[in-house]
Amino acid sequence: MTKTWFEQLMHLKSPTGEEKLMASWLKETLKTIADDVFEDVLGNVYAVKNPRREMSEVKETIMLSAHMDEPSFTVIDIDDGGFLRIEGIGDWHAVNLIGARLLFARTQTIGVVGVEPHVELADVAFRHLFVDIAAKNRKDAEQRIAVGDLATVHGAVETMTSDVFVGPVLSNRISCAVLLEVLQKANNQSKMVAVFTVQKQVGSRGARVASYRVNSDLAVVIDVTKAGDTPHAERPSLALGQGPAIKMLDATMVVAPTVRDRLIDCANKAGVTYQREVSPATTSDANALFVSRGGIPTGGVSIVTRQASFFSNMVHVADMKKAVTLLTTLVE
Amino acid sequence: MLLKQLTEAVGPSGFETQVRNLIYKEANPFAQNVYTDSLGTLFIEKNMTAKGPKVLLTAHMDEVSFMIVGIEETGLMRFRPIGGVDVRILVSKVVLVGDKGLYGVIGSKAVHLQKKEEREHPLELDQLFIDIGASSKQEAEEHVAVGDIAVFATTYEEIGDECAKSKSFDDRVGCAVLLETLKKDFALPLVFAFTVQEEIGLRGAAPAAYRTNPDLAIVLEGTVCSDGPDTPSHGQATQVDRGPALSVVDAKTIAHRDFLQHISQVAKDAHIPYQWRRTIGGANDVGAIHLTREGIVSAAISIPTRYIHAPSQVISLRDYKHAVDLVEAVLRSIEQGGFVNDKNMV
Repeated sequence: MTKTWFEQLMHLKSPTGEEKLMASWLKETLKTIADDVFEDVLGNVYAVKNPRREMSEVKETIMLSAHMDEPSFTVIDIDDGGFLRIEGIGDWHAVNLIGARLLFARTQTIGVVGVEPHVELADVAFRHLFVDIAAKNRKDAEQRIAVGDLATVHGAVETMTSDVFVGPVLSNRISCAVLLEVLQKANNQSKMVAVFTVQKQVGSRGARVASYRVNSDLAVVIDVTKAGDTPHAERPSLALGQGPAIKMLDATMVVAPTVRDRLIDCANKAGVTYQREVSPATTSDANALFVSRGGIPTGGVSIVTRQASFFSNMVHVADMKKAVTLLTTLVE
Repeated sequence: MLLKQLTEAVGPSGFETQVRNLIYKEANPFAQNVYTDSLGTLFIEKNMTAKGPKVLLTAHMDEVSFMIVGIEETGLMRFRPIGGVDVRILVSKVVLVGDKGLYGVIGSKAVHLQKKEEREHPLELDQLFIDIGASSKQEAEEHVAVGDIAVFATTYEEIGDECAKSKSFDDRVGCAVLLETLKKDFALPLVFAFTVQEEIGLRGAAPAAYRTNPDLAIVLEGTVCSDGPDTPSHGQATQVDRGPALSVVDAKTIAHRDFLQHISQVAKDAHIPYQWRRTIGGANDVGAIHLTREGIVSAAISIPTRYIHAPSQVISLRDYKHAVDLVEAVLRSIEQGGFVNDKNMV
């Protein structure tokens, strides 16, 4: 069940650049559902099915990827009072972080974001923010935190209805849960490589080296995309619970008709309702997979989420399940 | 003196010949193989048959500079920066123009003649020109052509307590560290790459890493430093005379934690001072190298450089010496099997 994978994954926080916690959980879990499991120097985790099948026996190598990382924060300074200064890694607006709780991955330290007084809200930048980890002084803080430590927004994932979850920055865990389920379900004849990538938030750095390594005949990126089914939404095309979105284009690439039509055929074959994703403001690993080596045919299947802000992403379980069915049809 | 020669050589991005020739002359007696690639990166190889890991060490030869883009009827020349330069600091600076290194001055309308509102804003590029003392377009064209380059004319001098100033410690100081390192013997296959076009988007480093395909890469840089008055600790990035800086996160790279940890431990064990680079702004060749092929374990060791990308950059010679020592200590540790990287970790 996708939900079960998601429930296991949802507590694993994975800041961009320090995805180790999720990577080690994945490596352990994947051993039971894939033939080969390994990690590369950036920290991408690979799971391969049918790795030693002769090329004459398989139609093609298909790579499915999902990113493990969340936008994060890094510590750039610790002051005498034990307060931390941070910078954002990813698309953060400093003002939105006032009062948020952060979780520092290395030591699982919790911090609260404060702001210097006398700064107008509209002018708040990262240099005005500090993080309070309830340290007595610098020495006390340094017991738990070092310059360069990475954090994510802290917060629980909760059930809103039997079908809808909400939590901060769910994109990575939603995508990874779908990929795990496909990997487990697929009884495929093709060589299939599942890649759990790192550092998507800083320009798909993990995906770039992964695509070079795998050199697949087809790559499909699993990620989330923004719903437009809320009041006065600018682009009211995608809706929660209406099925997976097959990528037409996003901010990083335009999907070739042959690739997107193949995914549409899979959806039709599997009897899965789907939506068409035209999201010019959404980033994904797609381009990094696409422009590797001589060019890798690349498409995407996205899960529609309502994203009020980074703190509250909503996801519908049916969309995840249908994405699994679609992708399983593709790789079989 | 190596630093003087290196920093006074002219080497805009894409025009690194003078620097390359200088480095070639200095490095050749110690090299097993020497070659350049089609972009102009200079490679010095040593012990290529030795047992690995193969280490790539790089520093970029190019510096921020200018290109002449037009010559006025008056003989005054319009120019544009090559690389990131703060235009506000250019007026009245002395530059060297073209292959012959003609002296020029960056001029503008005299302050007496500027209107009140003009004085309230920093001068922009279109209000600046380079004056080589020519009295007409024709006379200027006898010496300079559109497409010629210019660099700051600052000479290298040692100042104060073990400090030095020059126009191009970014990144001739890194080139100097590499040159000192390649004169030493290590039982490792080593490739020293003096890269091109770093200042305009890390262009030389990626082909260099692709070609050499190393197990480990170390980049030597001159990096941003802002430790002047009234700068809070979290705005400094680095401090002069506190030792070489190690990068954790910058605009193009999130460090390989295990290699970074190893380098800082080596520094501690050898009693070499080091500091963390405390900003996420700026980038260096690691940004291109670590994403090459299937990913390459890489790290940056930087010398804090005050007034970087400006006419007179200042470093501490003690930081420079400590960077040389740290690179040697790191290579010794790798030589002794102190850092092993398996590219496919099961």
